Amino acid sequence: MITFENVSKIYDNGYGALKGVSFHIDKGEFVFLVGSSAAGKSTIIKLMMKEESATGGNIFINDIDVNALKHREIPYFRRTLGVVFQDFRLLPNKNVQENVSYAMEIVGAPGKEIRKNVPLVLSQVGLSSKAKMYPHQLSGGEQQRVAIARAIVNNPVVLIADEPTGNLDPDTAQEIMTIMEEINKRGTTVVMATHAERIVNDMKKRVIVVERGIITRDENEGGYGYVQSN
Amino acid sequence: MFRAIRRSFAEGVRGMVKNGLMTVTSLLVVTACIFVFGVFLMSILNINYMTSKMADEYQVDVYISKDVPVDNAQIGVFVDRGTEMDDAAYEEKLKNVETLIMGVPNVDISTIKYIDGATRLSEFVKDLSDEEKKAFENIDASVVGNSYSLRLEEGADEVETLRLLGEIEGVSKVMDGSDLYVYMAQLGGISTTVSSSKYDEIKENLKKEITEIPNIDTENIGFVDGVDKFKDFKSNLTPEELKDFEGLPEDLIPDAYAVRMKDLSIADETIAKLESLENVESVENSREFISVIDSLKNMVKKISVWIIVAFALVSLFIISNTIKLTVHNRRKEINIMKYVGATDSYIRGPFIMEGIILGLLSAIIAFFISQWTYQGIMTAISSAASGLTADLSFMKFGQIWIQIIGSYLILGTVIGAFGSSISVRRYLHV
Repeated sequence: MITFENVSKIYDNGYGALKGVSFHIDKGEFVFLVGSSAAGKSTIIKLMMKEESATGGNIFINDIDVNALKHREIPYFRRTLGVVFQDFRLLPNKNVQENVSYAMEIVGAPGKEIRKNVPLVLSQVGLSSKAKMYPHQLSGGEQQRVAIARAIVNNPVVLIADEPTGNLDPDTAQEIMTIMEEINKRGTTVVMATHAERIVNDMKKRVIVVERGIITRDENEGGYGYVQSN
Repeated sequence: MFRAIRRSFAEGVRGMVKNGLMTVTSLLVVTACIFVFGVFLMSILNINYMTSKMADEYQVDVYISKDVPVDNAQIGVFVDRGTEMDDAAYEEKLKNVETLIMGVPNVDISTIKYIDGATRLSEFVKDLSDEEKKAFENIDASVVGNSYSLRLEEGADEVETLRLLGEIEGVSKVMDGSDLYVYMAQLGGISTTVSSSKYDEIKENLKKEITEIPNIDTENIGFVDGVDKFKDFKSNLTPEELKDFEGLPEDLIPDAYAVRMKDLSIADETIAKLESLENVESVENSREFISVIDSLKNMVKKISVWIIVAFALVSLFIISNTIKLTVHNRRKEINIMKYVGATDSYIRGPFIMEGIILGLLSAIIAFFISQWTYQGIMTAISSAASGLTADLSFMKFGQIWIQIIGSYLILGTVIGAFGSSISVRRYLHV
C-alpha cells in the first residue's frame, strides 16, 4: 500500500530532513508516526501527498510511483488520499454541509451522488444535526469531525492525518480517535502523525518513530516509549 | 462544461464583490485605457474614411489635343541660303553645319538627314485633304527653306539640345515637330487643328486607350467639355476681370477626360502612362495631394500602434494586480482545494473569469463613454464650422459602433484573461 525505500529529503535551504527512511504499510493498517517536532514526521506526510518531492529513494502509494508523478497528474493522485490537519482548514464562509460537498464538487462528482454521500458521511462523524452551521459556530472537535468527513467523502484508500488532535482537549481527542478507528475498520488505511503519548499508548497500534531524519523504531502494538514530546 | 463555467462565473463575481474598492479602481483604470484605445481607433477609422473618400473623389484631367497629330520628336534645323551666296559656298556652309550638328551631344547621328525645301513641302502636302492641297498650289518651295531633319537620343534634355543646335553658326531656326507643322500650315494658311470628324475619332480612340490602362477606374470616366468649362469659369468673374479674357477663342480650354484611379499608391506611374498617350495635350493632377494623404495615413498608423500597445500593457498590469489580490485573499482556499485534489484549471477558472468580467465590464463602460464623447465632438464640430464639415466628412457613430464595441470586447476579454492568468500561475505550484 505505502512503501518508502531509502527515502531522503534535503530542502532547498540545505536542511536534510530525512536521511534514508524505509518502511512498508499494508492495506488496512493503522499507523502512528511519532517523533519530536523537527524529526521528520511532517516531511514524510508532505512526501506522501506530493507536496514535496523526495531527493532520493522511492515512494510507492497504491502502486503509484509518487516520485515520477507529473504536475498535472498530482490532483488525480491526491483524490486517492484523504487529508486531515491540526488546524482543520475549513472554509469559513461555507456551512458544514457545503464544506463537505465542496470536496466532491471539485472532483466533478455528479450532483446526485453529492446529495447522497454528504449526509451519509456527516452521520458517520455524528454531525447530521449541524449540517447548516458554519465553522465558527462549532467546537474544535466538531470542526475536526467536519474535516474528517470532508477527507473521507471521496472514499480515499489512505487517510493521512497530521496531528489531528493537536488543538483538542483529551476527551474530544478521544472522540476523534474513535471515529478514526471506525474509518480504519471499514478498510481505509490510516497514517497519523502525532505527539499525543496517551493516545498512542491506549490504541496499541503500529508505531513508527522518527528521530533526526531516520526511523529509530517500528513496532506493532507499540507504545509512545521514550520519545520526548517537544 | 456548462457547470464549470457557471461555477467560475459565480465565484468570479464573488471575488469582485469581495475586492470592492480594488475592483472599482481597476474597473476605472481599465475603462480609461480601453477608452484611450478607442480614441485612437476612432481617429484611425475617421482618417481612413476621410482619405479614402478624398481618394475616391480624386480625379485626373486628361486634356485632349485638337492639333493634328505630329511626330514631335522629328526636329528640323534650317540653314538659310542667304541672298548673295553661290551654290559652292552654300554647299560649304551646309557641310560645316552638318559637322557641327554631329558634335552636339544627345543628337542621334544616324537620324541626321538633309531635306531640301521642295521635298519638305511635297511631304507635307501629301497627307492633306484635297481642299487643303489647293492652298499650297502656288507656294514656292524656296520659301520653305532647306533643313536637316534629326532625332534626339533617348532621355536627352530637349530644351537644352535645341538651344545648342540653334547656336550653331549658319543655322537660322530650329523647330520641333509641332512647331514645324504650324510653320508649314501657316505657309498655306490652313488650320493646324484636325477636322471635327477626325477629332471625334481621336476622342473615341483616346477613351479606348485610357480604358486599357490597368489602374484606371473604367466605370468612372467623365468627359469635360472645354467650351462649357471656359464659359463656367467666365460666369464666375466680375465684368472687370472678364476684360482680360476678351477676344480669346471660346475653345481655349481643351476638352478633357476626367479619370479616377483604383489604387492611388501607383498614381505616378499611371499619370506617366496617360501622358505618353497620343493626342494627350497634358495631364492635370496634384501629386502633392496624394503624397500628403499617404504620409498622413502612415503617421497615424504608426503612432496608434504604439499607443495601443502601451495602454494594453497598463491594463494588463492593473488587472493582474487586482486578480493577485483575489488570489491572495483566497490562498487558504486554493491550498485546501489543492489538498482535496482540484486540478489547476478548476482552481484557475474563477480567477480567469473574474479577470474577463472585469475586462468586459470595462469595455462596456468605455463603449458608452466613447459614444457620448464621439457624438458630443461631432455636434460641436458641425455647429462650430458648418463649412468645414462639408470638406472633412466624419463617420456617423452608427457607422462605427460595431467595430468599436467589437474591438473593446475582444480587448477586454484578452486583457482580463491574460492579466489574471499571470497572477494565478505562481500560486498554483503547491
